[in-house]
Amino acid sequence: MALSSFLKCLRRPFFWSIIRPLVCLYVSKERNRPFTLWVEFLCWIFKEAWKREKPVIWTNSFFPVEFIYGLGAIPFLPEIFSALVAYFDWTRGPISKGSLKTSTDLCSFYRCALGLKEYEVMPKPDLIISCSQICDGTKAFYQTMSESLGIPHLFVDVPFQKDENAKRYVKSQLEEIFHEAKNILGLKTSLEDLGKSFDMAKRTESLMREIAHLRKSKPAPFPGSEGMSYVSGMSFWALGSERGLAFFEALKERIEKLVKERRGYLKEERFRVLWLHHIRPYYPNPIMEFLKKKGVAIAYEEANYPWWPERGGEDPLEDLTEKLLSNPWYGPIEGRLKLVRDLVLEYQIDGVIHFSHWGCRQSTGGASIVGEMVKSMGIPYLILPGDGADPDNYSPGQTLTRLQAFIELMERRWRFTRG
Amino acid sequence: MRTFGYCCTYVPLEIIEASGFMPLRLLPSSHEKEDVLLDPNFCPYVRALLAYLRSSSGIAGIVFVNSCDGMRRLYDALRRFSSDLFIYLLDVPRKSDEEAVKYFSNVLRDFSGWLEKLSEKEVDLEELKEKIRVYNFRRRAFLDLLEKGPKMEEVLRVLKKGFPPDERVLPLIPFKGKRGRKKVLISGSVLESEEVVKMVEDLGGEAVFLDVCSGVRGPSWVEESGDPYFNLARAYLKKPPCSRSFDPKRKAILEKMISEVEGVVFYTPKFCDHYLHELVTLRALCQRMGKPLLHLETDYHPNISETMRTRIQAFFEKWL
Repeated sequence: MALSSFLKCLRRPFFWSIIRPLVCLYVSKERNRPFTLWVEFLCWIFKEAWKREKPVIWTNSFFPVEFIYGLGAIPFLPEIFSALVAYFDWTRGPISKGSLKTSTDLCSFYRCALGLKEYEVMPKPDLIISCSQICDGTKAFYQTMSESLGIPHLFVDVPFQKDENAKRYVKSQLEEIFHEAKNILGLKTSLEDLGKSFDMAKRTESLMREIAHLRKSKPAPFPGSEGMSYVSGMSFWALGSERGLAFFEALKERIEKLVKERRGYLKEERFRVLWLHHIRPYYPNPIMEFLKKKGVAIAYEEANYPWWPERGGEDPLEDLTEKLLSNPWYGPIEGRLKLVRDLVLEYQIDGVIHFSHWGCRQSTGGASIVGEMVKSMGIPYLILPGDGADPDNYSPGQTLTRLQAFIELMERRWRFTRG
Repeated sequence: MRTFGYCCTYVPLEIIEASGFMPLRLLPSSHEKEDVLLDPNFCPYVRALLAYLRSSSGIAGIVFVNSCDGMRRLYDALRRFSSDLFIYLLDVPRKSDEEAVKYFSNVLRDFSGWLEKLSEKEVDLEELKEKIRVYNFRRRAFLDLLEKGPKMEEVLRVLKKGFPPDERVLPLIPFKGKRGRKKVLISGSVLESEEVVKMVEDLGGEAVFLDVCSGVRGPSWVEESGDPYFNLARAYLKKPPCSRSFDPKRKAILEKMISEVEGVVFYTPKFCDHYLHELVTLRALCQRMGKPLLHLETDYHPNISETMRTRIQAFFEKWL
């Protein structure tokens, strides 16, 4: 009874209007301004999505969300919503509901979203737009959602190759979905309108690049654990919106100040680690606290690397094509290997942790190959199996033992290299 | 003639033959799987392929398809750790509209050029057209046979070597004796063991459709006149799609097949994302149409396990 009343509340725009200032006030005392802006953004997006004055479009994390803002719609990302639910440690119910429909071998974020659909806590979409990046689950999940909800689904098939043939193919699809989305939703958006949102994205991206540069400083000014939660949440969900721009301005300001003052986020930084994979466990767990206590800073995470080239700005769809085709996590593994090598060198990394999320074939499949390359650079490497959303598929004892052994490896290397 | 390996029904075998190679479908019969280079949380078929390819030789080259994360990572792992193998990754679109066909026909031209270099033999367009005619003849012969009710266990045995089968093996396929009491659709991903079909039929079922990657999923016809690459691209993209494709035809085909049977056996290797997601849709369809569904998740094994045997038995006992 209490649960159903609570779920009903979540579906009311009024609830989000009321809760927004209260939550923002609360978190502004506890945390930093960018975090407050993230919370404010979430309350705003949920309110707008439930209000239904503008069409709601479900999309996946790697589909350029600026396209949806440009259309004049409200984007909703079920994958990130699952991560949020995990943050509140509420995934058990939805995951078990979702797993009844398929197999427990599937990514828990998608199983959680399947279950959340049953609870009706995600605003129903008017349209689904997704792309094939970066894993098989993406297309499959949204196709299933489209079929079960009876909602049209527009899809961008991004090829593995990155040549002229691929560019033509992707651009023609973007043109097509732009027109189809307008027709389906009855929108009058022009390519110029799309350009406005893309311009906002361009300004935000330049801040993202500056932040990535600032984070090369020693000691690490900003915790990677937060980078993998609300920072990547904003880059996936808010790029191309005014709120996204404001968030990254605040984040840059905060990190810049810390860098000027030469302040790290740890009291004493012993080792700098690079975190691979786009996610970390979001439910309450001791991993980040353990690393912190041991003086291990997550200096950077591949999740926040702004991989795409700067936008020319003349042809929005051409820029979007370039963005989709330059994704280093989709295509031959050499793209990701180059990225990891560059990050290890630029961020003066002492060790690399590859979080291997259960059910993720895309990233986990490359973990050994990436490991060979990292080890050939003389850098300790740890494959850390776990689950990003399912707290019952995580073993704290084993995880901490592995982390402890990894830290000992870094210590040994440190002693060896410093004589 | 040197053999050339492939794994997926989206590979136009006509091009491989026109370049002077004999296509060989890779379905390793060994139990061995690679657990070091690829995570154990990974498709067992892909891990079996990796183990097989790292220990075998004699294949002139291999073409993988950009079909799933597993195949993409297998392509990466083999290039890094078995650099003596010649590997091509065929970028098959997920769509089948005209833009996708154009894209795929260019990909096929590139594949053909790569094969030419490997075989040191030019792919002659007339020869390619001739191969298309030969394959069309085989397709027709095979589809005719299917109409006559062959034993599906034997059909699978033949199809595991490739689609369409050589017309010379068709007369060796026996026909069903007594018809089963319950018509069954066998759907899913790679079905490596004929024993599953045999068991379904021994228990009183009749496998009417073999909608699996190792079953009847090739194109039924390729246009013979005009640009052969374009024709192949169109025919292979418009063939009965697998669950990877973004094609509403897939759901319509499933719906039609389910309407013609009385039960469904869904067979997937563990960790097969495409089909495990499709299971949600399939379950809903079966529920709506009132048809029982049995999902078998397997570890890619040439022999059927006792657990699976029991599950199939229980499915039929409850149902018949």
